[in-house]
Amino acid sequence: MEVQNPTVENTSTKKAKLNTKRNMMFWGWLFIAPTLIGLLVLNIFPVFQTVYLSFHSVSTFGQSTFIGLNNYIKMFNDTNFWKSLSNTLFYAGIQVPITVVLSTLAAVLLNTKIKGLSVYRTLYFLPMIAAPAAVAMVWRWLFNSQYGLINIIIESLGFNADIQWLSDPNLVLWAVIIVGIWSNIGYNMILLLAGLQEISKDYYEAATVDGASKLRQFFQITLPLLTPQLFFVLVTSIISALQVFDVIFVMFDLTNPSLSSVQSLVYLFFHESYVLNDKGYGSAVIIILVLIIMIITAIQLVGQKKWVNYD
Amino acid sequence: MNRNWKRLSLTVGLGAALILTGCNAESSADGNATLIYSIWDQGQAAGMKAIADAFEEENPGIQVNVEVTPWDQYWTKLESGGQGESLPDIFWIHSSQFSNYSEGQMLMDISDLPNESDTLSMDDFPEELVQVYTTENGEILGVPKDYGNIGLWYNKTLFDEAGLDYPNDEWTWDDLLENAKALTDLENNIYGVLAPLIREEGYHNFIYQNGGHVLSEDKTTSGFREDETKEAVQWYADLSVEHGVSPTVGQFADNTNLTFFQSGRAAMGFFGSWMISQLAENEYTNEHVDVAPLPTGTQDAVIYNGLANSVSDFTDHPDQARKFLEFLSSEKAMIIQGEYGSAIPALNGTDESFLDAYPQFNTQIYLDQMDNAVIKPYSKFTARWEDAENQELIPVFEGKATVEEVSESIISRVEDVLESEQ
Repeated sequence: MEVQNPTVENTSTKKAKLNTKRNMMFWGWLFIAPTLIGLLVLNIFPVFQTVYLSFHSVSTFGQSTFIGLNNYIKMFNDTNFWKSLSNTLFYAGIQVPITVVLSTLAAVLLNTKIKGLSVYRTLYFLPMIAAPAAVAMVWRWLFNSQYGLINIIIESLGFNADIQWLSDPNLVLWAVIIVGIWSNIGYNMILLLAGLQEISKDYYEAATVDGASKLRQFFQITLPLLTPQLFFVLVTSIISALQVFDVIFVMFDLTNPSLSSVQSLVYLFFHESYVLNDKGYGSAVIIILVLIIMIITAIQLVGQKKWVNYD
Repeated sequence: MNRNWKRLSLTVGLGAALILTGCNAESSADGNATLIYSIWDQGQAAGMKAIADAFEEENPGIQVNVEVTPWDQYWTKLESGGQGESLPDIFWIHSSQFSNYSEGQMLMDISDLPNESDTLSMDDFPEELVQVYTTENGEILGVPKDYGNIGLWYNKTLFDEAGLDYPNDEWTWDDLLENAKALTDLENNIYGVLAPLIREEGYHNFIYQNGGHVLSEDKTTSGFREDETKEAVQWYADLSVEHGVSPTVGQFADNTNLTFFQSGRAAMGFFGSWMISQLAENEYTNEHVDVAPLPTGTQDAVIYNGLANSVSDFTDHPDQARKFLEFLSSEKAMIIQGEYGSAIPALNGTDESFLDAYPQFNTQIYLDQMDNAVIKPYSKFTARWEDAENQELIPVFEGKATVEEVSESIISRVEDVLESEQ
């Protein structure tokens, strides 16, 4: 780099500044280019393509014919769609709150000074690094009604263990919720833990001097100061819960009598688009999911002013 | 706008291709080429590689790489390959997917290959199978590779313990039911027979044995209009629903029929010839089981199907790929396929080579059953009407409805699909 000479004329300084700015712009764009290109090619472009497809009847390769709103009309008359929608909302409605509460609890407990802290933290985080399909496969064995570890444990506790986790229509969604909670606690916990460590110790010292109990400290100091992280965790958890797919795909076969009680919107999208090869209809289903996610996220963004504490 | 997108994806694609091909850059001049041969069955990889080796030996300069992708990902991968016009040079195609690829013009028309070739003649393959891979206009887009049908597998040990004779080719439906009843031992969790809600290895065979059909000849109406069809499906479903000699549809959600059979908890099951290698690899089944022909209804019948080798319409090495296809369909390659026990070769007269691969099982029955074999029902959107049939039959297998009660909705849903094909 050249050393700037303070005696140089004003105009050339301006020029140099402009040059530097242009230079910075160039390098800036260059550095974000890989991500930007990836985003455009892999995310943004397919979004428009999906919207386009949802108004068409599509053959596997190439030709598509415009059919207006037919895919959407078919969808609103399709009981499978409504069932999948209610399954998805039920799943998110149960899984997210439980996951957030449990991961907050885990984060607070692992923010203390206990022996083997990093071991515990690793253990909680492990589900996150395991491949979702492998996780689902293992849970499928655990849930096996005859040989599964879960039923065996329940039986050894003296209860009736004839629980059909994978085929009872009233239970199947709960089986998926359990796996969902188990796999997501770790990741959320790490995010919340980072938030907890940013909270100054002074608050707690002051509160202790004033005689506040641990419980009160949690509700009056920890929770309010953790709201930015909680908000983030909530938004991302809801989005990923509404997109649940792989666990269902691996744990339930097509001939499973309870499949309709467990299939999610993304599952329906996959089934229609890739198994039945009806890409137009599949696209329409997924567009509705995108709209739902956008609306819920927008509501959360507006609503955050009421409860999230950014200072 | 579109052009920019094209340029952008081209840049990205080229970049990726450069990195990927760095280690695999070979010239394709003067007949030299590297062909990719894509298959979905790991169990057949050894046989296919042996064929590729034999081909390379005869054709120096052409190299064939066998790529295995499991069934579930195979079609997703092939489909995106097709959309990007970069399919493997030569690959397996299945009757349930064929129409997508033929209508999308993804497959090379090889109608002239039998004329050019000294060895290849389409008359040497099962006629219905050739028909599957030929379009309405008579273009041949694939050469049959193998065929497979369904056998009645039984657990010798369980039959011995019960003091019963093994199944034989005289068996009727009643024999099957009687024996299944005698063999079912619920206290020890042992079932007489496995009758899950599946088509090709399940109730479709029984429909044809009862004189019914799944789709009409012209593929416009559903066979569930016929009493023979409904009767057969009901009989099959009743194995679990009424007689309790088969696990229920709920139990099959936990464990597949193969799991039941391999853990010695079922005396009989229906398995396709493509399952033989898995049954041989499993220590228990390898020792304790054998196979007999399916029982007889009002007539003998069994579903058969077979896959084909097709050449990509976009291949950079059309001559070499055609040459390899010709070799794959030759007697030499078919016999290698049989001897490796990959699958039963489709070429007439070579299927006996398969028998020596599994001397422990009476695989001869699969060859004999071809006399009464019916091609697996297919149409343009096979997966769609199969899905409708499957969904509607679930309550029947749960015992909540009869076939008669659901047949109306099966007919209307299946025929809606068939109508959309026209």
